[in-house]
Amino acid sequence: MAPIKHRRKERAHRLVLDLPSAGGDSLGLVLGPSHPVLRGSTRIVLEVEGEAIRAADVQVGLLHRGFEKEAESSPYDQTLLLVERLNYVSPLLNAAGYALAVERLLGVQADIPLRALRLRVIVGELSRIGDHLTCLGATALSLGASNAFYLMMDARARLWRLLEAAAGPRLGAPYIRLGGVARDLPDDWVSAFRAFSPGLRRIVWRVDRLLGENPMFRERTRGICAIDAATARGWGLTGPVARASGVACDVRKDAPYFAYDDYDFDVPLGEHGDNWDRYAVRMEELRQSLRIVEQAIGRLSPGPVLLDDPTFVPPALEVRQTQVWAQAALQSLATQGPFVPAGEVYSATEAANGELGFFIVSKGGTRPVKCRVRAPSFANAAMLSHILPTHAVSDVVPTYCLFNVVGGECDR
Amino acid sequence: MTVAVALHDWSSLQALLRDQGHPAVATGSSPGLVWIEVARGAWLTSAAWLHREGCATFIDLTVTDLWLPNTSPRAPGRFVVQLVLAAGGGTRVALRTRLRASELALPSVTSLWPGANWFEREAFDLYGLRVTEHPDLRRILLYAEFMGHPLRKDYEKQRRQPLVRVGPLSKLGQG
Amino acid sequence: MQLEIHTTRVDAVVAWARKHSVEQYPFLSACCGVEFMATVGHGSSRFGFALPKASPRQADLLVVVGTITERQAPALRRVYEQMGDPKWVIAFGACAASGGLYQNYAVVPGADQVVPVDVYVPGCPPRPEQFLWALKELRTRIGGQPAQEMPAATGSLVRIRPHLPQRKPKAPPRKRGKGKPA
Repeated sequence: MAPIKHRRKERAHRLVLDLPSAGGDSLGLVLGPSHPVLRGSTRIVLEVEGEAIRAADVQVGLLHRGFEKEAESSPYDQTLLLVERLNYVSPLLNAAGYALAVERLLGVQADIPLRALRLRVIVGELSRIGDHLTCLGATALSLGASNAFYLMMDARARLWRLLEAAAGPRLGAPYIRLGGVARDLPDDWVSAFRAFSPGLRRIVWRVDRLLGENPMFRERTRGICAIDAATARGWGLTGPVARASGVACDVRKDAPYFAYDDYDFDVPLGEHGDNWDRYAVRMEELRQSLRIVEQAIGRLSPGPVLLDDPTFVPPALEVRQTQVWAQAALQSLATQGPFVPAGEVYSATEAANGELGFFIVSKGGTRPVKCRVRAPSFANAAMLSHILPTHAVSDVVPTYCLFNVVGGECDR
Repeated sequence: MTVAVALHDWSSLQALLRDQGHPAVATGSSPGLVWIEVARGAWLTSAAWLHREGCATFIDLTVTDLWLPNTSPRAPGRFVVQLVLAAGGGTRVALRTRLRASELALPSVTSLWPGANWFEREAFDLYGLRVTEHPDLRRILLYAEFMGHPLRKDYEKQRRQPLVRVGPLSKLGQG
Repeated sequence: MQLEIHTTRVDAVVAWARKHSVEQYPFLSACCGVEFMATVGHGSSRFGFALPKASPRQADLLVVVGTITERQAPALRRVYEQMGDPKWVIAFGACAASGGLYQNYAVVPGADQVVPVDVYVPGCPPRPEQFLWALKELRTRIGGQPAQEMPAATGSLVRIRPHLPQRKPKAPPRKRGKGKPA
């Protein structure tokens, strides 16, 4: 794993701001839930003294939609739709994680066609790019750098057109299925991607210059909300936030799934765990994800994209039209859902914000006894209320943006 | 991989717990997870042992309700509390204990892993796990006025507890 | 230049003016927000709908974007009450319209249980273009109504339980429900 080279000039690393105080009296300040950046799903209650935060209480749960209760009464394949609405900024990554968990529970994860795995990696890494672009764009906007924001939103709009062409609908596409993916790439998709990727690289390079070389941006991010590696471990941080603190954790490297060990990519690590490192790690991950997508496209080999197993994959239309057993299989899948034998599984994947774990318990049946989501945003948000005190009110929103607490995933 | 070794060699944990009078330890593995099941009284000791053995990264804490509709809700071992930890690389270790509904309480592990704070609050909120010695035990995902614990199997899925409703329901008169 | 004189009703002029200058306030809460943000590129100002306002007090149109949970409902209601009359509400997405996929203890089965809704936009999530459809639909609605009947605030608040009981104010609680009794 290669640490990022920081373009950091020798400068005192400020940890605690020397802030003017308003004469000892503290004031309560409530941000959200209807706030332009908190997106209606978080409320942050601050106790401030002048500009400095004395205590912070991050309140989540405003978007608690009862996912786990809903999943306990839904067939395994229909839960795929709910899962995509957990982290709605990168829905396909969630769906791939859930599909992998159920496939592990069924014991068929080794049989999934290789082409389907490659396609899952392609759309997954593109979703990760979209997630990071949204996170960094919101951060840039919160620090007043609106041109970087528009550049990244432009890149994201194009990226979503690509994903739409591959997956179907723009968001919540039922593309990832148990046993593979729904369909192959359209014919001209690879050429469309090749036309898009240099533009994305250029935008990343421009944003890096616009923000990374901007003294104001550096001052507003360096040394803000620094977290050391041991703290990050104890608080259960994963993903870019943990890697910014120097914790070498990445499920794609530690326990490779979807044949991630075929690809050559680096995991960027930060040193100080401050906002600058979190920004730099995500910027580097944009490039690394693009590398993975390019390699995956190069390694695409012809073959099926969906496993041929009528116990949990609906048979193809041609088969259904001629074979009676296939109609019966489809009817059973459509009315009851796939039967999953008794067992339990904990399956982790690397989502855009960190380790997305699914803990599924089955007693043998078409509905799980429990479907637990270990949401990375939830652990990250817990850290937030611990780290905000001693910093300035103006740092709350950029820090919140860089932790990328996505309501649907955090509150489930 | 000190932890993988230590888990195969869990006799030291067993010896430790035998001294304390909670000798029952079961271990096993399921896809993605190596688990250790201990008695309720050995929860904190075992967690501390795992922390010493290198499980420094907190991953998850959750409760499973294994109640089946035709059985007694007071059956022993109805709830399984599970603490998931990362032990170097991709290994995930789970510490489990089985509790009955009347004794659904455990000491907090926030002193070992501060990140357990919100997860314990969530277990309290959704399952009613009473966490003792927790720094700030209140509901987290639901609101303070909510009655009951919705992820228990005996909580009806559609039982809503609204805070506000419009008087005459809507212009279309539906609802 | 010839001088032309048109006669009309005041209502019609007021409605015409209103439907061409609707200020919107989006209440973003969930997945639909991602799609709603993409509507910026579709140029809703063509229809006289300005860019979103930062405060509900300056807005005439509340766009409920995404799932409304029971916990969030008081906040939505508060935002609605802060808007001045006349005001309209669009429920964007299946969750805002009916609860959508989430028929359980946590989710309000439709934003119309909390605020009166004028236009429902189906989809999970709807495509950005559907928002333009909703705006056109709303314009028709505004333009077709006499000014006196226009205020949409028909619902008066029923507070089933006091919100946040741990911090009870000492002063008597403010009376809610400023809408005219229907």
